[in-house]
Formats: sequence, structure tokens, C-alpha cells
Amino acid sequence: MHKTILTATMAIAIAPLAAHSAPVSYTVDPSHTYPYFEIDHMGYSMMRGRFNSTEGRIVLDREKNTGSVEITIDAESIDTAHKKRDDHLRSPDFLNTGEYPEITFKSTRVEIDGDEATVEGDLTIAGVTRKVTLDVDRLHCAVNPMSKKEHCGFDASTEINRSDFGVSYMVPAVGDEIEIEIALEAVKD
Amino acid sequence: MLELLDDPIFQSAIAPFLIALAVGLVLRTGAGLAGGVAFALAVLAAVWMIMGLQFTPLNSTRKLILAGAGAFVLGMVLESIWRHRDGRWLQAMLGLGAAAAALWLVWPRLGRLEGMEAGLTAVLAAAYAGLLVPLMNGLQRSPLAQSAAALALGVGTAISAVIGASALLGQLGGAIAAAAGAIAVLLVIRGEFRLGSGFALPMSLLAALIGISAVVYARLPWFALVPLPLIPLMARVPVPASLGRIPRGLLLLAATMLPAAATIATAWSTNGAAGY
Repeated sequence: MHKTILTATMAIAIAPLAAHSAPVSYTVDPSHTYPYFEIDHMGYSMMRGRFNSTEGRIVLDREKNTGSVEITIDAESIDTAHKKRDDHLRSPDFLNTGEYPEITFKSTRVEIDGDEATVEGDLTIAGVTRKVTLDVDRLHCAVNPMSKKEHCGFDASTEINRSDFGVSYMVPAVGDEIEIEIALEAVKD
Repeated sequence: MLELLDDPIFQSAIAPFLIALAVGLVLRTGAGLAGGVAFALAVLAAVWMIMGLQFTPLNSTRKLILAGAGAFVLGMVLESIWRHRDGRWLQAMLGLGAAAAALWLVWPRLGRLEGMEAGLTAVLAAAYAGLLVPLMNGLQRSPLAQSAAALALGVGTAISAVIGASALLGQLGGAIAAAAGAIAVLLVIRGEFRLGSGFALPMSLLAALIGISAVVYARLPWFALVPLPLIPLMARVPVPASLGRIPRGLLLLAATMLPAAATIATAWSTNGAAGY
């Protein structure tokens, strides 16, 4: 009897650890996930915009401090708060969304260090794939008091040259360098 | 100098105009080749400045440049070996070839459209290119009319593409207009010489594919393109032969610019101002 109680107590005690030791997968929450970007506009100002529709999946293995990230951005959902500019950004001049409707990121290496991480992976824009590194901070996982489900979130950032992806129209008048910030939240499957 | 190469007006208007003019003046032999070579070199230079000469990944804009290059080679071959360049069978074959090029261009988009919309897009793209190319190629007996039609087609395609949200396609259309304008000036200065298929085929196919791209990959409505195939028909209006080359050229340009203006007005009425 005592042995059974002891075993049960130990099982309960190590349950949270066991939950953390296995890789846990999460589905990206599109209503709280937005890739933002900023780009120099002819030296006058930094124009900012975002993509309104993003899907994906992340896996976290907190024991091994690794995981994976897969993100698919609907390129058509670009939003700079100006319809004509958005139409232009969708055209063959820039993202060419008629031919390349998705921007994708697929990690090849994830290294977690506390609430920070480094995520290396393949970013594909307009049919061209290049290696990029995302710097992740504010990595935080907890049960959401509203949904009662475990949510994970982080902020990720990187910098790319659009000409590396063949999106070089009007470089250098419209900046080549693009700062990318991704605010991401995901719900445990 | 390097800043000049980045200037859109220089890239798509000044440079192709000057290059076509210079090459046309140097190549005095005519014989149906000078117009094609002058046009091709002018547009090639413009393409190099506007988007570079890289062809991977093979997207729609690069496809249309390759198709234009293929049309130039085919046109030069026809000029060299084929006597009946405006024969009915040849025109039909050119129309089919242009339709095939249009389908190649829009193919990636078709797979993402619903059945009816995909079918309609394919038919309209093939019909537009398949109609425009033979009609423009059929103007070879009147070089002045052909150059005026090319200039009007380039202007109509360029401005409507810009209004349809693609400055890149607009610039490529502008290069066609500038090169055609230079050749029209040459015709006035040097007297009429045969422009040939080396000019007509790449010019008309490029214009057709740019227009289709502006519809399929940007925001130009289909119906805006409808007036443009009327340009080669307007170029056939009778102009008194007794008039000098300049008044005849101006009359032909005025006639061919009417459909171009209709296209621009239609694009404007649906998309509004080009800038933002």
C-alpha cells in the first residue's frame, strides 16, 4: 500500500518535468502573429508594414534546448496602410504574389538559452531561398488564463537584403536592407 | 554616370531612344534587318538597366524577356530566308506561337485560379497575344504606319501598366515606345525603309506579354487591353501619299494613339492615379 502511494506521489511530482522533457508542438495563432518590416523610402523615411496572415508550427524541446520553427506568410496579406502601395508591393516589381503567393521560413537549427534563442533557417521570398538567422527574445510559455491552454510566444528579428532574393527593383532608391520583426504566439496542440 | 543608370526615365525612355537612333543610323543597309537590330539592342540595354540580365528563378517578367528574344531571333531568320513574310499561313502560325508564349507566361497563375476563372484567363491571354502579333506583323508594307503603331502600342501598354500597379512593366513598355519612336524618327529622316519581322515580332510580342502580365500579375483590368489590338487596324487608315513623311507620320500617330488613349483612360477610370 505504502509502496503504491509512494509510486503515485513520485509520478505526480515528476509529471511537469516529464511534460517539459519531450518535444512539445504548438500551432501558430494567426490572430497574435504578425511579421513586421521596415525599409528606407528613398532616404526620406523608414516605411513600415506588416503581413496580416501567417500560419505555422513550432516545436520546443526544453530539455535539449532545441526545437523547430515553420512559418508560412501569405504574401498577398501585405499591409502598409495604403492600398495602392500594397498593390504595387504585390506586383512583379516586388513580391510578385501572383506567382509566389507565400513567404516561408523553415528552421534548420534552433538553440534555446533561457528566454532567448537563435534560429537558423531557410527563408524563401519570391521563389528564392536564402539562409537567415532569427534572434529570438522574450520566449515565454505558460497557460493562458483565458483559453486555459498552454501558449508560447516570442519576438524574433532579423535583417535581410531584398536584392539577395531577387527583389531588387528600385534598389538603391528604395532601400535594399529590410528589418524584420516577428511577434509570434502559438497554442499547444 | 552611375546615378543616371538608376534613373527610371533614362532607363526606359532616353537610353533606348538614343541607342535605337544611333544603331539605326549606323546600320544603313536596311534590307529589313536594321530596324530589328536597332530595336533589340535598345530594349536589351533598357532591360539590363531596369532589371538586370539574370534569368533565375524564371519568373513571368524574365519569361517575357526570353520570349521577346526568341521572337527577335525568329524574326531575323524569317527576314533572311522567307519571302512571304506577311502570308496568311505564316501570320496564323505566328498567332499560334504568340498564344503559346502567353500561356507559358500565365501558367503559374492558372493553377491557383478556380476552374472558370483559370479557363477565361488562359483564353483571354492567348487571344490577346494571338491577335496582336499577327496584326502588327501584317503592317510591313507601310513602315511609317508600323512604327507609329509600335509607338502607340508601347505608350498605351506602358502607361496602363503603371496605372495597373507595376512600374517595372511600365518601364519595359516605355522602352518599346522609346525604341519605336526613334525608329519612326529614322524613317522620317532617312526615308522609309523596311522594318521587317526582326522589328515587328519582338516589339508586338513584348507589348502583348507586358499587357497580359499587367493584368494577370498586377491590377490592370482585362477590359483595359481591349482597345490595343485596334492600333494596327487604325494604322491602316488611308493617308494621302502626296503628303510629306512628317505630316503622314503625325496623322498615323494621331490615329493609332486613339486606341492607346482609350486603354489609358479605361485603366485610369478603374485604378485611378498611378502614384502614391
